[in-house]
Amino acid sequence: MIDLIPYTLIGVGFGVIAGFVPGIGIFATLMILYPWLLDFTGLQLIAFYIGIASTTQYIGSITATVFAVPGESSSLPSVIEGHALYKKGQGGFAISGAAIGSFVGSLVVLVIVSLFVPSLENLYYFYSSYIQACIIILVLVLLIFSSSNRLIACVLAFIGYTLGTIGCRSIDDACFATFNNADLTTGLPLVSVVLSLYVFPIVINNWNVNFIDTNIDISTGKIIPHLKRYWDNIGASLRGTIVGFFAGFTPGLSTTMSSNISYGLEKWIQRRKKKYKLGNYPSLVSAETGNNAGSFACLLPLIVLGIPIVPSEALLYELASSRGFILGGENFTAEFFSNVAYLLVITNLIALAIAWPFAKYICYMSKINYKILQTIILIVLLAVVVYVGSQFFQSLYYLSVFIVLLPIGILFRKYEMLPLIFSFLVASRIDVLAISLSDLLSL
Amino acid sequence: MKKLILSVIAALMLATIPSVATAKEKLYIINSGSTNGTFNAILSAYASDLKTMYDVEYVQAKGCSKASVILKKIKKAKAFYISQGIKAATSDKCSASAFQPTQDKIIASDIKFGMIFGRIGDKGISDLKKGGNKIAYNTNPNKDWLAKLDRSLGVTNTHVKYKNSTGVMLAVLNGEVDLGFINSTKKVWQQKGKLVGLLSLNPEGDNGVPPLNGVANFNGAEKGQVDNFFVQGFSKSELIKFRKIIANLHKTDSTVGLWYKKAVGYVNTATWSRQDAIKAAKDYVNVWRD
Repeated sequence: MIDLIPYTLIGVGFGVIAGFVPGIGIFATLMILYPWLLDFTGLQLIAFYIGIASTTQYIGSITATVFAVPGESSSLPSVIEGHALYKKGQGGFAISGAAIGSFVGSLVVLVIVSLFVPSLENLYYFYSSYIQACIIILVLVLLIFSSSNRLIACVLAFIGYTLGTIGCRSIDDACFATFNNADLTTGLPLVSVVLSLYVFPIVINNWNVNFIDTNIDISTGKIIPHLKRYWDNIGASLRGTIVGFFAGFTPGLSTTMSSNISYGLEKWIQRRKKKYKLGNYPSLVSAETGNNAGSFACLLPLIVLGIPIVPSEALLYELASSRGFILGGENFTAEFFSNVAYLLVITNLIALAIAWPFAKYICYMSKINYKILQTIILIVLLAVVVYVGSQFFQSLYYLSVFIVLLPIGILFRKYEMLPLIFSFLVASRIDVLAISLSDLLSL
Repeated sequence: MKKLILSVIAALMLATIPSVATAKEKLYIINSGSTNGTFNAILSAYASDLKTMYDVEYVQAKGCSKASVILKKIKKAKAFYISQGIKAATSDKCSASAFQPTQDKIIASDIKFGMIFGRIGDKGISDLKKGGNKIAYNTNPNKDWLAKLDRSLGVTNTHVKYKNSTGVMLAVLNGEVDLGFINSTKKVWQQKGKLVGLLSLNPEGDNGVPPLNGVANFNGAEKGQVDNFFVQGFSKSELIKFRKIIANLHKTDSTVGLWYKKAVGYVNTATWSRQDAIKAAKDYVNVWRD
């Protein structure tokens, strides 16, 4: 099975790109590479996917920490805590904590899951609508209760949900606030909402603060303090692992759910201990650990049951099927799982090795004037909005949504916006679950 | 140094000449469905094969309304797109002429027959006849269809709606519901170790699954569905030529050919005569209009 390693390495390479550039997630990368991936066999595809899916989680947290720009929506907590640590001159600890946590999280769930391989075929019980609804409610409650102002958090969550319901639902073709506009029927674009309400306000907030964490280079041999700080907070990391793992089974949301629930829980615990301050290392580590544990959990339904739960997996599944390799079901064996498992270990080792030196190169940014750097970031992000929109023939729409929402983002810039963003992300899932549950309960 | 520069220029010129000579025509491939559904999988396969002949640009339209607007924006360019026949007949958003099966734009259709299925060793046809079951489904027309089935059998069942066929399948697998009803049976066949087809809407049955009209007979008991493949911006002769290209892809081990070989429960009309394909598309759309 050593012959699969090159495919994992290629996946790692593309994972670095997908994690680094906001708006270009795993799905978009797979679509771009589609013709080339057709030459892969089923197992080679899995090896490639493991590489890309795991690595994005490592790299996404670096851009979130340094630039306050999430490469993936699962890196949203890192934008808050990681970037705040960076501003305190502790960016190195933020990046190392996220990387070590991600590594530990992946390995712990791998070991635990390996012990339960024969029982994995019962995984579908987890997809009960009741359980899925409980998870979403739990995350929302945690995010609201861990906020400094719960009333504002509730209002923001409601606004996020309302924004998330704009458009036409595929489940019943019902449309809300579309005003006969074809663009609005497709809903508000995620990239415009996240950048206008979450990222831009943070960058604008920092406009008059001139800082660059020049201690971010952690590749020069001073590893012990980083390991020690992580070890001192290993409880947060393990909590994130367990919680993030189970949340990772959520269809369509997976790692986003994992990082947010782990973050919400840890932040709530830290507040209870009266230890929470913005730039909280345990909350960051918990979110990033949960993120990677969720990334592994997300793979399980695909490889065990043959059921893809996120769009990128659906594409992978179809690619593998077209090569005659049907994932899951009768083809799933303990031997197959062990092949996947060793690739995951290799991927995580490589991603860890990449994530640390990667920070060193980002450190070179300190040579650029901070205001110029911020301006470049804002321009690049605007270009991302236009570019991602152009992929759907919606550049103007993406830009318009961004411009319309930006004043709201600036207005609320002093508040914690995660409840709003999270509610926006889960709005359609909430609607779907509400419809299924009302039918099940004959309401 | 001069030599090196001249060599580079010469190499660039040589590289450019053939690319100009063989410049490909632009073809937009537009997915009007979701990114994680079967439409995306099929069109991605087509895009991969057609790339050797066209300069393909793949567009995710995220629904009929947006697809319709995009098609208007690029009305002079060549486009290849897909749409659900049942939506063209029943949904206001998909009623635009671009989605109606007329001979100036239809290329082929996928004909598919829905299926009622359950868990192996669990509820079966006799339970369905008794009523009192929870049955999962995933589209608005299927709800009406299930209501007709209940009336025909004279029983009452609880109908539970899910977002997509994956949701229906998971609900049956985890025991949240007793039975499921989906239009694309591919997923059920891929879970044949755990799930079993009980009744098919195909009047001839489907791979050993008996036809529904043997148990209940009502208007719609044999209603199949079509997903239609259309083109825009093609003259009549270009359309016929393009249809031949598509038919060849289905006959060979192309990416599309392999996809259909592995997908149980789909009948594609690309290799049929053009008249038969147009008739099938029209018939299967019109049957849902009442």
